[in-house]
Amino acid sequence: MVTKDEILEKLKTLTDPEIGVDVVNLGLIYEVDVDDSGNVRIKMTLTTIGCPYAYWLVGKVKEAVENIPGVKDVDIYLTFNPPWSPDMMSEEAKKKLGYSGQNAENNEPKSEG
Amino acid sequence: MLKITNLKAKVNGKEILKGINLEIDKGLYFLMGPNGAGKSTLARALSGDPSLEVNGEITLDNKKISELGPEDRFKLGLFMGYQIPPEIKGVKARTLLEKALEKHGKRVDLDELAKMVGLSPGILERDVNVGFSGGERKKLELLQLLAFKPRYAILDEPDSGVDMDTLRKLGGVLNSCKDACGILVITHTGNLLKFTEPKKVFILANGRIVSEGGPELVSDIEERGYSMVIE
Repeated sequence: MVTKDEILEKLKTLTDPEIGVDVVNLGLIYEVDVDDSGNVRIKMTLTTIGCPYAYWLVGKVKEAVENIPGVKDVDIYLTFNPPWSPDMMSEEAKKKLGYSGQNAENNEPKSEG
Repeated sequence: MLKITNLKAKVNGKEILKGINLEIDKGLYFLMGPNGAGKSTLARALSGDPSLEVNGEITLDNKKISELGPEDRFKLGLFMGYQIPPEIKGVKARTLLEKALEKHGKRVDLDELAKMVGLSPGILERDVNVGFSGGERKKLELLQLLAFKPRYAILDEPDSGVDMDTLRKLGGVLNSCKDACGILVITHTGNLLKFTEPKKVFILANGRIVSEGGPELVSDIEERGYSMVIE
């Protein structure tokens, strides 16, 4: 029987191309539910709202989970409530990005003007 | 110009694209090839899929985009159409589109565009693609193409499994966009030729572009198969 942990482990192999961290450590996966028949329901968010990125990432999440043996149907629910913020990242991700927890945009170039 | 130079791509360590050279400017282009040739891998490489190992160069209007992710490529004017656009529950189509348009500083009349692509009013109030037929999902993609007016668009099999009505609408949209946009349509069939004409056709086989020609190349392939262009 497929477990929630197996699903999360699989999702850790999915890197968000915008930020370079996997979707689980990024904090995008809000909820994972799997029933006895292997039907999976995932509630997730995006770092940025709107297509094409939405299609792209949701498609990848669906594909990754569908490929886990034992998984039947995969339903993805997208929500922006609560909206994603860098604070939702795991400590590992924060360290990797040098995020100090002050809403700083660490990916922006440092120079002004 | 969208220029692809010596593009190689590996999927799970296996080399699928073996050095693609391709240029598209404004206009309509078809990309065809047998199953397993690498057409979808090329689409993934162009979209910025980080799970691929990519070598070579992709430039968009002289700007290198090989290191950029999908959102940044979109900002630069590259639109990706999906073979099977996924269902996204929890977000209404209208909401997703409005937020994306807002983010990219565009304003359009979504209902007007929905009418143009043949989507029934009210479909925008439904969750994205949930319960949509294949044709309706493709039409929503077309609506996005019209709404965002990208400089370049890569459409992965937009004509697969759709009815004649959707095919006609697709042809119409391609015709209306092709003067201002460089559109690469990945296709298996010549069905679109009933409604539109590409200025060039590329044939991809075994990870390489093996042939380039005008629209007549499509009927040649239909009549004699791919073996006529593959060694």
